[in-house]
Amino acid sequence: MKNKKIKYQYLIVLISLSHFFTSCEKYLEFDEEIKEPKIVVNSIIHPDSVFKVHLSRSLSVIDNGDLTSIENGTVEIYNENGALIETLTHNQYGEYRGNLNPSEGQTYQLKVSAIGYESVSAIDYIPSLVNISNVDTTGVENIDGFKELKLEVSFQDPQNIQNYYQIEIIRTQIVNGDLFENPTFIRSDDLSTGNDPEYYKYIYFDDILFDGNLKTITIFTEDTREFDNFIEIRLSSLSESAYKYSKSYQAYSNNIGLGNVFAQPIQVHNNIENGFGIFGGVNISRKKVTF
Amino acid sequence: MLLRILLLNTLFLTNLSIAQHTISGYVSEINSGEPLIGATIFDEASLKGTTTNVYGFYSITLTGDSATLRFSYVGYSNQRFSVDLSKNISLNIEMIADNELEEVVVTGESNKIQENSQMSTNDISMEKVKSLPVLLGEKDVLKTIQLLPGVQSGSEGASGIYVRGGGPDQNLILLDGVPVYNASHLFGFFSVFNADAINSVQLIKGGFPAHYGGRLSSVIDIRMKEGNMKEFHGEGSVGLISAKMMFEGPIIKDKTSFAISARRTYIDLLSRPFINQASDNTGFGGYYFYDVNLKVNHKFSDKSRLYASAYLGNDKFYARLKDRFVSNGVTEEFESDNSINWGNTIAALRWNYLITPKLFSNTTITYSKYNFNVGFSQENTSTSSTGVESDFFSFDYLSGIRDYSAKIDFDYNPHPDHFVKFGTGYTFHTFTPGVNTFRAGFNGGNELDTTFGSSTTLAHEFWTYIEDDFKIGSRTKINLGMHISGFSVDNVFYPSFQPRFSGRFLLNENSSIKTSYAHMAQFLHLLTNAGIGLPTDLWVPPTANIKPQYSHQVALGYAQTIGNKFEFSVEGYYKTLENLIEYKDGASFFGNNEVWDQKVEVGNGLAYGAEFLIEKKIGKTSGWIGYTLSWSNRTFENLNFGETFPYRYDRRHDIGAALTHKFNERVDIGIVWVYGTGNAVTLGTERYLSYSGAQDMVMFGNSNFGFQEIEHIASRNGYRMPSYHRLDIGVNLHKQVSQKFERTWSFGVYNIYNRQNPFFLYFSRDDSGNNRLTQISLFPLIPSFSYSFKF
Repeated sequence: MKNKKIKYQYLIVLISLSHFFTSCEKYLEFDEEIKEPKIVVNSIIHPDSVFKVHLSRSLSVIDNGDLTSIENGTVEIYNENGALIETLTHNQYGEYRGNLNPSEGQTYQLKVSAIGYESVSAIDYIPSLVNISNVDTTGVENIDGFKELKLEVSFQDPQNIQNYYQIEIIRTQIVNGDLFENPTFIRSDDLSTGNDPEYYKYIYFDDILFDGNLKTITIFTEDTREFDNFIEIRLSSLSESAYKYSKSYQAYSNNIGLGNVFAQPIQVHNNIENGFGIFGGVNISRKKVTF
Repeated sequence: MLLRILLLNTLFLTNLSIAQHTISGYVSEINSGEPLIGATIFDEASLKGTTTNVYGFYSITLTGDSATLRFSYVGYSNQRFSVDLSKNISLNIEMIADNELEEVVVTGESNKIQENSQMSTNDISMEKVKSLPVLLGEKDVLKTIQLLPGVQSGSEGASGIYVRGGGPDQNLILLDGVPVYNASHLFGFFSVFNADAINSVQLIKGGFPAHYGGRLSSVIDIRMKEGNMKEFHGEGSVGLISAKMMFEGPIIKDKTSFAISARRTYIDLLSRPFINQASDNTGFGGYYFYDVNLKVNHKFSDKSRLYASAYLGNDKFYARLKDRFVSNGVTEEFESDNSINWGNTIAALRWNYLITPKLFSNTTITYSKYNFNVGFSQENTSTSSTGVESDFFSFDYLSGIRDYSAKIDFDYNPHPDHFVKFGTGYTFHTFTPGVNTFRAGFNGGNELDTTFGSSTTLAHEFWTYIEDDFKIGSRTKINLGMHISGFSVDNVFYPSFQPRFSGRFLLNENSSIKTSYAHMAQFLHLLTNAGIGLPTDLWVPPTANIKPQYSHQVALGYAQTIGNKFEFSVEGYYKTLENLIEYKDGASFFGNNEVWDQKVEVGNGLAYGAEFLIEKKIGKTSGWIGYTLSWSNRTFENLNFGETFPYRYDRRHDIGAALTHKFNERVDIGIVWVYGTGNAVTLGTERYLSYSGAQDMVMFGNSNFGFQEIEHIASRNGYRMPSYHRLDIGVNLHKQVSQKFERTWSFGVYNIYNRQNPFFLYFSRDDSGNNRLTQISLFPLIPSFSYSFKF
């Protein structure tokens, strides 16, 4: 919150500066060759669900057509021995589904073809599940009337393999027997995550600084116990591709708008050969905290 | 090995037993007593020579019974003295400016480009700086340096310096020997150096002599005026954006002198009445910068001299709001104060002492500080019949660096063929990379007072060096040196051994080939979001995780004097850069900088190219044309998917032309033309849809909900802006109003053919709804004028 104020101050200066000098705008020809549309894959796979893949098309940056779904594609899943295990069928709006769930520790290859597009492929694996061993609600801090709940989330990091994590909190209300889930913003002041202690939807970190140890990460979220029935903490173990994609995606989203006019634009990670998007493996551990 | 050669060289020379005597002294300008740096002293009998150092001191040791010394300096009449060599002689020379410039015969032994062992070096004449046209008429040393080959200027209008593919942090900018951390005012549009206060400027781009160290890419050695030893003089000017004044004179004639100069912009003062009117006197705001240079020097004797110099400069944006109203019998008062300010403070105390006529020493104690501060505070008071209630809130963000430094340097001239320098120094650094302070209270009480952010880091840096500039035979001259430095921070110690070599081989009387090698270490990193020199850039030390920056540079060149009037040089260079830092994708200076070393990526750089320069230093028409062909790339494991990408200021072609012509004593003109390949910028090439985070896909079951459009960036800095070019013309009209008073009207036009140069590119939609690449330009044709005077 505090840092936002600096940003606004800074912006005021920049805006006044831009008035200070005369500036002038004109259109230029875009010198890059105009790229043909490509297949865009969006697929996060995890053992709790069947294979799901979303297909759409990409366009050149100066083409303002719609980024429509591809509904006539052939979507195949192969195992690590190269054997076809499933062909997904189109459900709706470019989403394809299978009947099998991916398994922990397995590597899968995705192959997609569609008329009018170059075929694309991608490989990824389902990382091992890392269970949340404990969650402590260690107190409430009140800053200027904003009540923060402090949570300590512990888990045992597997030794000698590089692990990538994502933490999020889902607030859940039960109204007339229906479950309403709301993702909430969280922050962590754990410096080993390399994140700013600001509020994000997800916190990403790897295990370089605690490989093989019992890790306890402290996170803060708005104290909504008056309204919610329980919160669910999700610790996801991510494949390297899923981690790089998710982290760069969050940075990309935060970078949009005026906030960071001087920052370098973000390159979102992409593991689709000949196309764009993500085919990434995730394994989710959940823990409910009931009030 | 290198050290051993150097030591042997030196020891051998001190033991020469042939009868020899030393002539030493200072060379200065006759009217002011200002030292002439780089003046040539040549013995016509033995054909040996030397040059004056940065204090105007020279020393030459000769054998034989007598010598005929000729003193020469560009723009001054030669002076010849015959001396009897029966004993050591102290000889101070005052040179007389030669106004008949066209007639000056530059004799063969003067300091010609092909004679020097040093390459990749340019001396910038202050005369040129003052007569060339410049944006808004604000004469600027760094903007003149930008016109030289091998120096890139960064973005439009800015005074940034990017030398041979290096970054803006890699320039050692020395003001009287003290490093200046932030050399720009107003986000880089003006440099902090007031041209009126400067005596000499030298730029070194490669083949660094061993006495310099601490930065990778360049040395800009700026020497302030000492102050006139003979009589009081002043100069000043009033321009579009600023006014400045310089005053100098003797405190004790020929013993103690001073020079003081000050400059301030006044847009804020001029606009304040309008703002007051517009805001109903409830608030005002503005921007200004000022700088002050002060120097005092005292000559105890011919052997001992003391210099004290100081610089203070500050930029400030401010906005104050005050309001008061009455509602339902309650008087509400509101007051807020906002400011952003940054600046340098520099002080130096130097003592020259001539230990023997051959051994000159200089002891220096310096202080250098750079601060950036954002502050705002707000106070509300309500007064009613029941009493007074008030609350306040304030926030401060402070970052900066502070150095205390001490060093001793020696010039040792044992023999006319050897010029030895050695010395040692130590700097105590205090880094403050971002401290936030919040205070809040109610009714005068202090309820909240917290400080967070990074703590200060203390570091120690030391260095020692030795170099010898010596001749081998009649054609070869070599400068061989070793610079050893070390840096200690947070229980890590980084030592560095940096061999330096440069040499020339005379092909004939007028031309030579030169070569050099320099290894440099830099125990400082600059955390910068955009690399355009914003005051928010943070200086940070190496840490256990982030190592110091290193570079290796080799250069090969050819230098020639053509017909006594033109100097021509061509140089090729190849430079590697290690441990450069960049913010990780998405990270920025906003936020907690305690963990800054986890917010950066470390990578390497490679730069190579060729530079051509043809220069005419004397005559009615003088100036230069420079051309640079260059490449500069960066490779970071975690940026741009690990692929090498062009540096933002990678510029394939760069041309800088700066010419002045003097019609007569009353009228001269200056012309500047620059051309550069467009800057490398990062632009998306394709767009596609992506889910908003991995987990959403689970939640929303892969429906079309939760998509965001992504612009795919194939390569960082992968798109070229259109090329940059611009012509500026200025005319200076001088008039000697009285015997002691001269005034000059300067008129200039910046960007005379109104080229819309690219400053920033982005995509927007035109009136028909098409996505178009859109360019923002900053400066159209801008006229300027200033009035200056001298007395």
